[in-house]
Amino acid sequence: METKNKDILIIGAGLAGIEASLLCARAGRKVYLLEKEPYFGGSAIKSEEVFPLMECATCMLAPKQSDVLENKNIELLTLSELQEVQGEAGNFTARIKKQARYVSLENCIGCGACFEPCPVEIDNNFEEGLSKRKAIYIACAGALPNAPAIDMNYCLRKKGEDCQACKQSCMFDAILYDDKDREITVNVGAIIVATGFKLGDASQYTNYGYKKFKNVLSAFEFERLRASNGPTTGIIQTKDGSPPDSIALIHCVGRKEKGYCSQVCCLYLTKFAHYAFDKIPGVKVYQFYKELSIPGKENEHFYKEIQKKGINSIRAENIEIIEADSGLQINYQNGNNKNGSIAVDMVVLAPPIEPHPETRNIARILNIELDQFGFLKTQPFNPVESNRAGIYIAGCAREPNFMQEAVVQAQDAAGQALNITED
Amino acid sequence: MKGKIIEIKSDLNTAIKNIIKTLVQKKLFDAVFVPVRIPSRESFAYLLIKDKEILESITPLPPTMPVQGARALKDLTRLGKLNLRILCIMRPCEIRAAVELAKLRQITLQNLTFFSFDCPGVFPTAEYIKSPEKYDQNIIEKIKAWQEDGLRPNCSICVNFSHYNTPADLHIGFYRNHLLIYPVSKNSQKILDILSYRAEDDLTEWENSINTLLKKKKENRSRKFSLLSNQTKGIENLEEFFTGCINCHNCMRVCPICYCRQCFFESPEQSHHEAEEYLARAKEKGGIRFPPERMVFHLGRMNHMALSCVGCGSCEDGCPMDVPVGQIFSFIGNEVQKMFDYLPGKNLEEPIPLLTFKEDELHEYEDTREKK
Amino acid sequence: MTKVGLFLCECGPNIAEAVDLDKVTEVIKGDKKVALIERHRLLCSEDGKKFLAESIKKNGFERIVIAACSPKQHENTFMEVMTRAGLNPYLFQMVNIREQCAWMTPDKELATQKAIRLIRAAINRINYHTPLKQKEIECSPDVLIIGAGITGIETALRTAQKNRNIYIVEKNELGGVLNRLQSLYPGMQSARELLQKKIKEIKSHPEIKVFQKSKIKEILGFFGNFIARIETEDKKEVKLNIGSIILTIGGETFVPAELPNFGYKKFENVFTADEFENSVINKENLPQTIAIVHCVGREKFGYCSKICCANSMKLARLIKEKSKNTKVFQFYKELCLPGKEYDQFYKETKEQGVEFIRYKNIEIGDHKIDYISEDEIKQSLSVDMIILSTGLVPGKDTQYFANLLNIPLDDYGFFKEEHIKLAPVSTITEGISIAGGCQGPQDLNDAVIQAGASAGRTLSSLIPGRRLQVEAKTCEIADSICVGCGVCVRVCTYGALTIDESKHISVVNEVLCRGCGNCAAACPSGAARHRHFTNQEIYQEERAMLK
Repeated sequence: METKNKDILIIGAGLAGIEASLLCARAGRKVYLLEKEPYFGGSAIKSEEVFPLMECATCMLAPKQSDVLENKNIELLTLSELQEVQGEAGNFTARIKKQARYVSLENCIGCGACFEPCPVEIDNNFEEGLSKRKAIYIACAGALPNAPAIDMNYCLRKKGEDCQACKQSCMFDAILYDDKDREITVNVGAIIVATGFKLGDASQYTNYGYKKFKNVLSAFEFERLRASNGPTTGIIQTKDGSPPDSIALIHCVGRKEKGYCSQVCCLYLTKFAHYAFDKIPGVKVYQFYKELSIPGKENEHFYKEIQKKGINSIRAENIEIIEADSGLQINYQNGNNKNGSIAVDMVVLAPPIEPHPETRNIARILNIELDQFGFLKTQPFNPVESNRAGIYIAGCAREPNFMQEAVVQAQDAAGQALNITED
Repeated sequence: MKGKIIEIKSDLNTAIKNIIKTLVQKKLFDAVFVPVRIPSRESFAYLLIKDKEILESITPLPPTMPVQGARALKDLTRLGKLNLRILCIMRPCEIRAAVELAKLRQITLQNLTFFSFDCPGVFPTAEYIKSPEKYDQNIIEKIKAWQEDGLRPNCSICVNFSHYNTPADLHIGFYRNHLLIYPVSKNSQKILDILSYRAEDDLTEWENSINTLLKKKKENRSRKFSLLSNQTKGIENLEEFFTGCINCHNCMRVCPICYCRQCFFESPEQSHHEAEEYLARAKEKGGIRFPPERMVFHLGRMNHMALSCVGCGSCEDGCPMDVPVGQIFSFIGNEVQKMFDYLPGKNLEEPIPLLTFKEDELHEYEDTREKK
Repeated sequence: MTKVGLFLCECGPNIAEAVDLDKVTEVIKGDKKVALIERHRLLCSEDGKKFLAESIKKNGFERIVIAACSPKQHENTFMEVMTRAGLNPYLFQMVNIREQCAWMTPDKELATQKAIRLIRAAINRINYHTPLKQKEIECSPDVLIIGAGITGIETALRTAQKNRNIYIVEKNELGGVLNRLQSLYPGMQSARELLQKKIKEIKSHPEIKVFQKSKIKEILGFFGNFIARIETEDKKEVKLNIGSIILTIGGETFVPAELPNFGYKKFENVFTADEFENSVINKENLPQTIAIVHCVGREKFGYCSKICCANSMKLARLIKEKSKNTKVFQFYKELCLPGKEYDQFYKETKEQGVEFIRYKNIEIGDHKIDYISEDEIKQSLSVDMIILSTGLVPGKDTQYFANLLNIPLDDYGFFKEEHIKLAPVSTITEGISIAGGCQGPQDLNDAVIQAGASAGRTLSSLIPGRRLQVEAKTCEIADSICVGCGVCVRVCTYGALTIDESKHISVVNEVLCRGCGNCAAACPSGAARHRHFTNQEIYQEERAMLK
């Protein structure tokens, strides 16, 4: 019998990918942890706090991230994407494209001296465009690995100019203009896909006025406003810089169109209500919801607390947001089919949790099935197993999930990956 | 409130003694743990008595407390496995200390039955030894009149001198030449049955008298505490307060709550440094006092046991220099215990606050940083 | 005197520009405790590490202080260099003069003063360090699974490997709650078929040993080395040596006897969902109208059980399958249908003619339901049968196993997880995992994933033939000082301390101890001591800092 390859490839270095890597590495396995972005940690590090205990998200993740960085069994490949996979369980060959970072991870100490001199300024997409970044950048303060990358789409050198601003400011010879994209081939016995989610684009549901009215925000925009390492250092404010007197939280944006409940929105909107009450004295908070879904043992208590803090909950259909003299106006039909209207300074939308745009591509490369919504399909009674032996799915790549579910799925997937690669 | 009222025909000690004798004769208890006058007559000691003859010589209500009962009981029961049923007659503060020590695994309460009584307080041991006869007579009068002059300072500010907050099985009260038996625990029913008593007499008058006294003592206490609070403000005043201390550590040795095998403040690591080290410290401060670590000892001990301090005043009784150490410990103990809404020894089931963790508490002591 | 080497890292301009390292050198040079001060531009670089290793050898340093960045960043880096240079890596102290001085204090003079104090403190401390050793112990890779419901069975199947024995112990019959179910939502597969298949699998698995109708009498030991005493079906005692334990004892469905408004056991034809699916549906001709009432008990136990909405819809479909003309009403408060599959399931159920009525308050009477709708209108409906969709609560044995294994319960009576988000199937005691309904209310998918997760954690941490690494920076108890008061036992977060009843002292289990130091802080007599944070070390550090 042919011996199986014991190494494991994990695609996506968010919460699920990190957890799976650490488990496989603890078992003594070599792990290749693939991440498309120059930083890792996924969506979880965008949150300031997580429900229901309102713990600091980055503080929760940081120890796990440093375990990954220190672990000799884990090779973290940032800026990397899967190109091709051949073979079968116990013996896969994966071709990976690793984009040039143009910054040496060995030499760079993450001092950030190179940002200031860079002449290019663009929207920081990690911050949902709420702040600017340079062509050489890190996603946010505290992002790991603690080293920037040069975004060659915007760097002046790409346009043929001989700008050396970052190189000249670097004291450690860490800037590598001649860095090249590389192709790596790894042999592994099992693959775990943890590519996560993307928040749906709320502007396609036109009745909410997203992208049309400036103080209509999508969930992550609000999250970054509250983030102490975010664009406003945690101050919740409207676009004109003043704290909102009233905020409306809109549930179930796009649920009907998508055909599924995204599971997490009721609770993160509850968290947002906590943010608002805790940070803005005297603020009025409204929530417009259809069905309240707060499953799990700790969550009802968490929800009851915002009721105590005085949230105004309105069961509503047919919501339409328009701009009025004093700000935004929400027209709606309540649970008893009566029409209502409320004026607020800020609206926060909870759009659907959708599969990451890369999911389709990954499914094609791995030759695994998607479901009707574009999530990766798993097996009945084995919810982390794909239709191909040796390939497992964890986290929001398979379905909208809570953090704890992503963690257990990762642990489950890791266990199965370890098992299938035993001789 | 109901109990049994008995007229005292001889004297208090004899009346209690008779009850104890009956219980032992009827084999409800195998032994009695109770103070007995030592042969030289000037002091008392706790005795574990099996012999019925010796029962004749007991003094359940001694006028002084050379040994805190809980401390004595600890030696008897620390290693547990007590198969004897023992009746312990103790003051309320001694019973509370015993229960506190039980929480700290230094006393095993299994098979122990506690009788508490209305404690009139005790005289300072050193005073008593000078003229025992005078005080023997005096204590009876004290009980009758509930006077406070000449008592241990801690006794005059004690607010838990009766059945309140004391987890005894049975409480004995005194009122106008009568002895009152008040059943506290479920256990006490068996005792009443054996004595052929029924708890049917009305105890309201006694209770009223206790409450009047309690009010007075509470006033005494708050006066005393505000005085102490002023006397000990700031490190200079505190130094002054402990100025007579000769570092003999008697206060720790007689304390019922100080249960450590070796006091941390006597451990080599803590108290023995090389001369060079002392020299360096002297250089920094201009000079250091010897023996060193005097204040560290008091403050450290306070830190260790204030939550469990029952305020018995044994420490002060044992102090050869009359440092009011019992009063300050009682004061600080009360402050700290208020913070956690905890009364040491009141309830065996109630954990010591140090051993429980609550995320949501003590916010009033937090600094002014952003609050959740 | 021991030879202490001090290394100052410039961290490029990061430290060098914000802290006056010349002044630091000048001031510290007078300290007799330091043999030599070395300086490097970037100590964590390859060149820096080489420099450090060579300097240690050349100068014969016995202890090292490095003033550089945060220990979080490079403590391990430098400890490795020390090990390679032949020094015990615990004879080392790192001073953070970057994050805590250079980057925090804009005034260079003040930053320099602070750096000097911090460095002095480390120098004063380092002589009290003792060399610590990373230990290894033998361990068993075998696993004990307690409870053979579907979670336990799945856990066993996922954990079973060559060279690893799995013992699964069940006090009743195998299969747990699945024995009582007809079908599984949303796929409406037969529960019995799935269960029979899984039971056959574990019974025939060469590495799995099944104990039915058996009791766990006692469990002693710790991660890697537990001993369990089991009373088997025929009253024999079996002793098992295992490395880890997975609790899969499940939960129970709530019985609404104490909630009078639901009329349970008061009126005939009022059943719980469990009773209905287990027996009622088989026995009788189903009546004309059936109402299914959601959220029964939710207010009492204080959480949404997640499964009841979808399960009620499943019951509606089972009813419709059996008796097409029966009218089914769903009385609900909020529809909780999380995840991608259930909106469709709901739609299909509705399409079968099931009527959904939202209630605010409800009172069940004899063959009728009085309810108040959300717009406060009182209404009444006559029905022939009422099914109470009750939530999930902890099982009766939960407390027994919590006591047996000394693990905590949460506010609701389920086993408490190590961390609700990051470690949902771990307990605070390493080597004891939880999965399924005993961890919290959940559906079959969740339970199966948790089974896989607890299996995954075990497979990753206990490898056949490998020894367990034990933390070096642990606590210890001085036997001669300990008086056995148990304060340390109760403040220990990891269950690493126990009382030795024969000696009346407490003992540390070094496998479980993670060196948090709670015990050392709480012990009044100084008997509990942290090996790397002794009183002396802390005292000397602080003294030099505050001088």
